[in-house]
Amino acid sequence: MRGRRPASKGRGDLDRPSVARFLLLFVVNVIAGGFLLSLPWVQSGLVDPWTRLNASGTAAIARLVGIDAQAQATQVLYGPGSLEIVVGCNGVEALLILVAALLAFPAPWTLRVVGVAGGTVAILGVNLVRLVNLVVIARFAPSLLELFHVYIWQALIVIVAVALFLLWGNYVARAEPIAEPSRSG
Amino acid sequence: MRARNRSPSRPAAASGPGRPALPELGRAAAALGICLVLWPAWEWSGADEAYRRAVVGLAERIVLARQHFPLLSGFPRLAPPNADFVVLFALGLTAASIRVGWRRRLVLLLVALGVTSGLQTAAAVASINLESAQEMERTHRILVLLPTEFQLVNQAKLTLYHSQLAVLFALFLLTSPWLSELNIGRETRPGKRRRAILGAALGAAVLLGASIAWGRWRESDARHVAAHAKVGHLFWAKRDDGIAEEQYRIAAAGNTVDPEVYFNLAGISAQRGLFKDAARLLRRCAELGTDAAWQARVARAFDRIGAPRRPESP
Repeated sequence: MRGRRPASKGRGDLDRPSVARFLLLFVVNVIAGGFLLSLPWVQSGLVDPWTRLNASGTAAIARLVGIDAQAQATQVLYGPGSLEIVVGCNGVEALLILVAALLAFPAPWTLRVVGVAGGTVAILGVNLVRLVNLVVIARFAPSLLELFHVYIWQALIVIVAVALFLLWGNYVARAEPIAEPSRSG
Repeated sequence: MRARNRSPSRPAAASGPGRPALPELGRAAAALGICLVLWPAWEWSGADEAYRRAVVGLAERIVLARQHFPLLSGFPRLAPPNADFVVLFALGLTAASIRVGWRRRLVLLLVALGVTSGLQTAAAVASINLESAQEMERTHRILVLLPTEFQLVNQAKLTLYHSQLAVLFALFLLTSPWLSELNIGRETRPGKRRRAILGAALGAAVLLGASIAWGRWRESDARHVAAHAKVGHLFWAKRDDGIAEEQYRIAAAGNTVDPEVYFNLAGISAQRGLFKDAARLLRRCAELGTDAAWQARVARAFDRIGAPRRPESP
């Protein structure tokens, strides 16, 4: 019979396997989710409606801030130009990463479902802000579009996903506490 | 006694994961700030273009070394999506994570950059394969990638691009004190490492087996066999008989129904003085090319090599 390992290891030694497990599951979830999202029926049934929702939401909010914008499928038409919302601009990858982390994290399924639902709404909201911002920039300062589109908003969307995950993680830790692990010695 | 129904991998609140999110937001803001400060220098110095060229150049080399059909000699037109912000943000993030030791930060940065450039290179390889496949189908009607393969490679490309953001996400967490403060999974189960190694080995074996099985299945697919035949014709027309023969042999091994393959192979065999082999190939050609034009061509070829149309009885 194999004996139980002593619990007297250093903190780092104990944490490493769990963090590694979380990261491994996270990577597996990202890969699996990425493949799932690329399937034709997921594209037509989920990603395309989501992208169209982004386009119509962006046009509606842009009109509220005084820009004459209209949505046409996945395009947002504004004054002289248009923005096409493609893969990478629809917030799906940020949502995928967030969901991959939520599912990889050790938590009860009910809290995971709550996290996924809340995360979906939050990412959609932030992505609408991002798209409206990009429409405003494309309309009034097109020379800054690349900076905002590629550098600022890509980083911000990752930060938002991390922030949502940390908030959810803190909530999980408070809602499902367990005792301080015993240490020998 | 510990409660048995508790998952060993549940987070522990006792060590205080619920710290204010403000320092983390400050770190994120600082990282973004550093990223934006670095950006003009990155562009001005030409590092962005150099980085992109390096990624595309490496991808090109990989494609050229591993291409199944010897069709590409270069792919200079590839313009991968601008993803160098991942590099800049990773730099900013590690610079801003002052609560983490510099050695750990350096290691994490190097790993993140290695993984990111690997992902970008792999995505560029996928892009080259997809774009060249589309071009070959458009210009020569050659199906370099079967529809399922095309879909798989396209899915892989999208996943690789998604994964770059996941690297930043993981780097953010790994440079955050938050993750280690959660103390997830404090209890380590006996044999866990062995099971993990076994699982990884099993996964690798399954992937390897699937890859071999896929390769075999592909070589027996009529559309793929036809592609080998068409590539052979391309090189035959260019008088590059070496590559043409190689492609024809693959097509013949896959039982192609293209009589031209057997006819040209017969010509190659005849040139080498292998008349029996040439006659055998011409007979196969005659079986497949049943129209009058083919029959006449085959008859003239038999006359040229001086072999009987019907195999001699032993």
